[in-house]
Amino acid sequence: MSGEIDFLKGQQVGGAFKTKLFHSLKVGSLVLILAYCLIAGAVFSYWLFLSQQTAKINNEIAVKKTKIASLKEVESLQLVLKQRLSNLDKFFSAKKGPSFDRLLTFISQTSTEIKVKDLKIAENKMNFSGIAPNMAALEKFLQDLKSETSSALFDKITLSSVDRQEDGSYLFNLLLETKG
Amino acid sequence: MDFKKSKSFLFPGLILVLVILVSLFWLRPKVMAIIKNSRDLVANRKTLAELTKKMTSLEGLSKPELTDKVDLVLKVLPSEKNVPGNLFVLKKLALDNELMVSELSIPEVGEIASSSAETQKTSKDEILPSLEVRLTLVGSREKIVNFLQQVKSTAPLMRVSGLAISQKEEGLDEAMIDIRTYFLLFPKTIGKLEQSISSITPQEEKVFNELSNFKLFEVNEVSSSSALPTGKSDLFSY
Repeated sequence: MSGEIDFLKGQQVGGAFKTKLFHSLKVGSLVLILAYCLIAGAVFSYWLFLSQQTAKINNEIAVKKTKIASLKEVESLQLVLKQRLSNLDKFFSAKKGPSFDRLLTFISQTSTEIKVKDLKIAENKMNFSGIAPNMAALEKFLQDLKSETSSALFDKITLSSVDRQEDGSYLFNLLLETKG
Repeated sequence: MDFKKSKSFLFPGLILVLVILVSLFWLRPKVMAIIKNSRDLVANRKTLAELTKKMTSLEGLSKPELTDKVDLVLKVLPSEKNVPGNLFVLKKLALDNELMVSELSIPEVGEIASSSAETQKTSKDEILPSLEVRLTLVGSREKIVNFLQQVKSTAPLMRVSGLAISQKEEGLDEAMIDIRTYFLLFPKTIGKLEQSISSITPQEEKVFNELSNFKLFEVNEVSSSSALPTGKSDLFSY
C-alpha cells in the first residue's frame, strides 16, 4: 500500500494520468455535445425544409383540386362519351349476326318464280318454305343457290323436303345455315 | 478527494444523459417525421403531377363540342329503355318506307332503368343491354329490305334479331321482325379526383364518325304536332 508522493505538486504520483483522463473526458464531452448539436441542427433544418415543401405541395394540390372540381361538368361529359364510345366500339367489332337485308335481297333475286310461303331467319339459321310452279323452276332455284354469292352467304344448304301438289306445283323446304 | 473525483465525472455524465434524453424525446420524433414527410412528399409530388396532367387535359377539352358529341351519342345509345321513343322511331321508319304496321309489341319490358336492368343485360355474348321489340309489317319485299337496311343506321341503336316472312298476296309480304334496341346506363361514379382522364382513341373517333351518319328522328316533333286541340290559353281574352 505504499505510494509515491510528488512533493512539488502536493499529490500522489500517477495523479497526472488521472488529471489527463479527466481533462480528456471534459474536452471529449464538449466535442461530443458540439457534434451532437451540429447533427441535431442539421436534422432540424432538414425537417423544417421537408415540412415547408410538403405544405407547399399540399397547397398546390388543393389549388389544382379546386380547379379540377370547377371543370367537373367537362369531366363528366368526357367520361360519358368515353364509356359509350368504348362500348360501341366493342359492339361494332363483335361478331355480327346474319345480315337480314342481304339474305332477303338474295332470296328475292333468286326466287323470282318461287312463291315464298314462309321464311324464317334467326340465329344463323334460315328456314325457307316455298312453292315452285314446276320442277324446272325449282331446279333453277336450287342451281342459283349454288352460286358464288350464295357461298358467301351460306355455310350449308339442305333441301329437307319436296312435295308435289295437286295443281302440279312443288312445295319444298330448305334449311340454310348462314355465315357470320 | 472522492468528491473531486466524482465532480470530474459529473460534467461528461450530464452531457451523456442530456444527449440520450434529447435523442429520445426530440431527435427521434424528428427523424421519424423526416422519414414520413419524405415518403409523403414523393407521393404528393406524384399526385400533383397527375393532377396537373388531368387539369391540362380538361382545359384542352371544349365544353360545347363535348356537349354536342354526348348529345349525339346519347341519341344513338340512350341511358335507359326508351319504350315510347323506340316505338315511335320504328313506326316512323316503317311509314317512311310505305309499310303498314299491323302489330307492334314489346314481349318483355322489365325494369325501365336501374342497375339491375344493367346486370340483366345479357346473355354472354351481348355487349350492351337491350330491349326487344316485335313488329309486324305489311308491304312489298323491296320496302321491307329498305326498312331492314335503315334499321341498322337509325338512332337509337337497333339490330334485327329475327325475321319471319310470308307472302300474303302477289307483291305483298307480311314480315314479323324482332328488333333489339340497345341502351346503356350512365357510369355509377365519376371516379377519383386524382384519376387521370381517359382520352378518346382514334378507333373510338372512327366509331363516333359512324354515329354521325345515323338517321335521327325528333320525338318531340311528332308529339307536338299530334297534340290534341286545347282550350283557351288566355282566360281573359274574348
